[in-house]
Amino acid sequence: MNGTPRRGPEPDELAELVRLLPPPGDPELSDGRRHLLKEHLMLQIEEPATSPKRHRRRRIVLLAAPLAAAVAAGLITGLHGGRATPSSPAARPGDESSATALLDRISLAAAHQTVPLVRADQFVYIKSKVAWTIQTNGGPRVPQPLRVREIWKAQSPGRRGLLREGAGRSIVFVGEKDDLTYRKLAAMPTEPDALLAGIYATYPKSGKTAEPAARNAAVFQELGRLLSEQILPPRLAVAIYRAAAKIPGVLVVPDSVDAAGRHGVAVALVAYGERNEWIFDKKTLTYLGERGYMVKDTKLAKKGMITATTAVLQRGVVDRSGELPAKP
Amino acid sequence: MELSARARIRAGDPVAFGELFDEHVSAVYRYAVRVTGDWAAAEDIVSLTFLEAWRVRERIQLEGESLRPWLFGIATNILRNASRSARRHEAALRRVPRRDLVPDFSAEVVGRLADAEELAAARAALGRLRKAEREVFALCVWAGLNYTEAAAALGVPLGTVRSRLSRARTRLRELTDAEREPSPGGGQLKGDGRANAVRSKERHA
Repeated sequence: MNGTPRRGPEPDELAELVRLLPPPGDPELSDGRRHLLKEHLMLQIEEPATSPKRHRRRRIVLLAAPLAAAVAAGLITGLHGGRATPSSPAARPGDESSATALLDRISLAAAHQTVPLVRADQFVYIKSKVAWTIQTNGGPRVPQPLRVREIWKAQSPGRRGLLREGAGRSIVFVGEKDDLTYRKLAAMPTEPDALLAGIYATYPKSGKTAEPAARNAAVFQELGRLLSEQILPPRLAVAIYRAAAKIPGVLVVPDSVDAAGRHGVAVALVAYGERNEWIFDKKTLTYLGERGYMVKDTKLAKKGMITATTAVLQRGVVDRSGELPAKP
Repeated sequence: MELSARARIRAGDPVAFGELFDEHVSAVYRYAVRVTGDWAAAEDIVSLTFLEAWRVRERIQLEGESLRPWLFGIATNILRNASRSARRHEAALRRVPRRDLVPDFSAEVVGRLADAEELAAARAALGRLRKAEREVFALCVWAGLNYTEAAAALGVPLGTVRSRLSRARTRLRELTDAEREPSPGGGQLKGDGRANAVRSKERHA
């Protein structure tokens, strides 16, 4: 304690008082619970839980947004200054501000999600269905067959994680200091501008990412990776969606479909003829998966080709690699 | 110009408020467990304390040092009126996931059971004091606040705190002495209590 003179019980008085009663024990809040309580407190401060009546009023405002969007859209692209994107044939007027509105609703849903405790000695388990494209020697992109992918991510260095893809192949990989663990995710900036600036900073304005369009696409993909194969602290998820709304050119695709055949609404960014989509359940706005879709012919792929498709099937926390989480 | 933590919290700076949480959450939790005897309820008390603190942040005085007495004052009020506070912040509390029930008997659980017994004995003993004396005891002896801080937390004069603590000491002495007298058929586990006191006196924060 600090050095100012204390006016309180004398030490021997205090000692006697302590002795007069049985000791009350020394209860401690575990790291996990403390983090959880703080997470939810901060969410409440930054995004107050509203009563049902107020919520309904807010939804009406959001639905009206597309009507004003035609006017707003012309203004939005101008505000972004140096980060101009090439106009894409798939983008319609009003898509950008409806993307902002959709991402706002998605972030509200994300704020309400309960997140399991993740200890340093545990593993984050993500099960997905995936298929990407492979490219050989500068030849055309060829879609891979759809397969199930299960990953157990170690949460501290030295622990052995596991990756299982397709029929029976398993790869053991040891946790390293630089891995993105839940703890690291919880330490990432939760202010959208700060989060965005941090990710943009990792892409230099030279070489492959010289063009703003390339940098925007890379940042959008980076954020997407966090969504698809991690368990996210709710505040970080909220920040990711808010940050995505600030990337120029992000738009809404009213109907898309994930690798499990589930339909949903998507938030997407087009770059170099390819539309990268994050797909969400239309009712609950929970993240379903991603899709890559060619919107025009390029040297390596034809219009209409699916360049990537994923679906998140299960997320959980387990004590050992190879174990499955209990089904709710 | 650097604003003090008090000024920043009063102005509604979430980062400053988060730092306040980090600094005092353990103490508030410990206090809440010792007073309620319930580990899960104590978490709700912690949430309610900080939610309420945020709600009334504009009342923070710019002069002063640690905000701990202020927080303990809020916590004490919430402990007095737990149901009313819970109703006010119902929507926010609903967002906090409940602790999972631990199914196996790991060392952590066994340790927790032993602590629970300790706490139950302490609270039973504390229950023999009057409410006003109990509150002062919990704040000064178990939470480690001095007279000034406890007085600020309870909104009473410093002299009142001192006299209540003195009465608590007298009363507990009487009760302890009464127990030391061999009582016919009396079954106080006082011997075990002493052993516990010796074992865990260092753990008192």
